[in-house]
Amino acid sequence: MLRSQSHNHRHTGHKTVGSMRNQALLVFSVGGRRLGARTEDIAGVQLWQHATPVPSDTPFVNAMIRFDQECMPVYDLAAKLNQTLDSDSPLCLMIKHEDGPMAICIDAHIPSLHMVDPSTIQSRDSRDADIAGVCSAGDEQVTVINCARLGKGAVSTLGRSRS
Amino acid sequence: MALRGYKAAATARDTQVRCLVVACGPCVLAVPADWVRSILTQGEVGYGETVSSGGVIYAVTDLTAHLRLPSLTPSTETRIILYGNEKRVCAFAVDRVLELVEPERHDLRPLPTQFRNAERHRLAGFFLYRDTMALIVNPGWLLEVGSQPPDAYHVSSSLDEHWPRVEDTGLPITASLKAEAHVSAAKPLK
Repeated sequence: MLRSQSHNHRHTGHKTVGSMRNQALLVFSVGGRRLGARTEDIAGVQLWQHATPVPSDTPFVNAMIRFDQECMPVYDLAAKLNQTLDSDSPLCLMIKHEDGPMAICIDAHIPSLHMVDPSTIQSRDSRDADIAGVCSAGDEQVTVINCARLGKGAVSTLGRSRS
Repeated sequence: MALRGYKAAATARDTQVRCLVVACGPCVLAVPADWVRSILTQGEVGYGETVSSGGVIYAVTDLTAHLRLPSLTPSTETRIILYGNEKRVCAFAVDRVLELVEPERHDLRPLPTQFRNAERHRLAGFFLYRDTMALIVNPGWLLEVGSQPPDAYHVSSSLDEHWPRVEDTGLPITASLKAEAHVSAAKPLK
């Protein structure tokens, strides 16, 4: 079905014929590594709050964070990317995951908005479903994260256990 | 020390679920309290592998190991909880007993779908507690692992095991609660 194919392309980063409209990308850092996420997958950015550990066997999903009455699971993107957050006051990137809202701890560096041509997002590692590809945003190369499906394809591709 | 107001069975019409909230390493856990039979100090229990109380022998299980949490550091606040229903019993240690609470049923939330491995067997859900959240231990799972000899328990991270399902434990946490419509903090018992 054409509609489904179009939906899949949105998350895999493959070039889509006719998709020449610019894509808004939120660029942020995790442990200094520059990353990007499609703005339609972003729910907001807040100051990071204390996360409650959850004894879990799901890779990189080991905590929940609470904002007033709302709680959401935390995806440990820093651990996934083998990075160390380099900030004492990190930010919380809230994403619109397919399974519900999710939080990612990111560097304190304020995220910036960039417009990119979606056709320039180059798929680099098709084995890792968390990574849509890489592209140029401004004068830097960023790795584009598949926020909506984060962690859903991680188990078979990581090759290492969670921390 | 026994739980005051202990009742062997809760009726399905109760609007609240009684939970014993305990600290266990970095986590706040909530144990459905209807199966709590006694809370003892380490001194009352000793350091054996079993505890005898009221003519019943409880095997002491390492809850923190089953939950993959750091081992407890024994202190004067360490408590041993005797737990059981008519079929199975066990005993386990916790760092500290915090309080007995009665969250409303609609305050109980299922574990978010992103948690998709064996933790879904171990944890029935959670509710807001003070400035954090209390993770509800699946009482069926707890009694299942707690009543087995330590070397008979195979630690698995798979969801494909035949552990008691949360839906079978009588806790009112079902898919219908995923809407998370009304949420308010748990009220401590007066």
